[in-house]
Amino acid sequence: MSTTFKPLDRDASTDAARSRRWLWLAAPPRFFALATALIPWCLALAAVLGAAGLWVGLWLAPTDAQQGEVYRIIFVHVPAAWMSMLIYLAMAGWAAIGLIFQARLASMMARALAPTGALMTFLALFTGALWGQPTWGTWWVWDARLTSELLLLFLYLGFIALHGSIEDPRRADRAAGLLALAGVINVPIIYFSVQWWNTLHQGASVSLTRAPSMASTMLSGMLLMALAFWAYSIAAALMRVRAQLLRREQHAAWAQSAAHTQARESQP
Amino acid sequence: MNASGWLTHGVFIAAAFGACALLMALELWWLRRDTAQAVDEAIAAGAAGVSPVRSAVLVQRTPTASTERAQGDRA
Repeated sequence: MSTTFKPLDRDASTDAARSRRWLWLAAPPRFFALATALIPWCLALAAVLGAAGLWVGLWLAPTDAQQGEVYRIIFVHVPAAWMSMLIYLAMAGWAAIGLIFQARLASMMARALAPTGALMTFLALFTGALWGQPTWGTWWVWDARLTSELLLLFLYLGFIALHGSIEDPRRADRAAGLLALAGVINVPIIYFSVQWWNTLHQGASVSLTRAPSMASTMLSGMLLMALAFWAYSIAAALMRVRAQLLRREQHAAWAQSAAHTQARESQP
Repeated sequence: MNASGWLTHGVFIAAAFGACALLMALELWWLRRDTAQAVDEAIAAGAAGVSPVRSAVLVQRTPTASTERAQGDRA
């Protein structure tokens, strides 16, 4: 018999090997070990990038010609706003994987991201209000950008509350995952709100399709802070998922061993 | 840097940066506390002598008609 299917077989075996590698990594004991190893690196990276971002943002960046010194709030406001949307997309992505493949770890990742996403959304709204008062003369307006960002905060809080209100973890994962997926529609609304409607909020200063409309020092300070926020969010989500794994798998031998190791390491 | 600008708007800038630092530090503190509690709960569960019934696998599918049939055939 001819072997005309050989190339196809090679492709299939490569795909299978690749998916096996992902599944190998996604097993709770291995993921727990990976998260434990990654957390200190992410936190250290967040601290270094944050310190560099603060130095550039507060000392090196020039004073804005129109807004004066108060514009420096963007060095925390913009990264927090970016992270609020990015974390929501990541949360919905994990929730979708959890729903489609019934993957517990994916649902745990979605759950672990929600509080940090809510924190970033709150910070975006709070720092935005602090910037709005001296710049616009008001803390808050029912503007499309601000209102849709507030809706994002309610989506995060709704996800957390819904998950917390259902006792069975699998049913809670499913219900909260569906809410996360339904809320994804809000993310493009937030992003494009300044283009679709006539808003008081200014348009995007940084875009992937055109050159930034700010000084390069300001841009580099903002990007450094954004990377610091990114590293912080990854560390926080990994810390939360580690605690969830220990609770859900507490009767498994690996969790017992990991708990004893953690307890030994945390002793002075 | 503009000194008068800092005097006028310094409180807004300090509040924005301070809120970020404070909330992130609080979240990290709470996460460390939560992890320590999860460790204690796991150790307590082990000390209670509950057998390790849950296996460490990612995908747990609910049995479908075909898997039940296959199990039946094997039996």
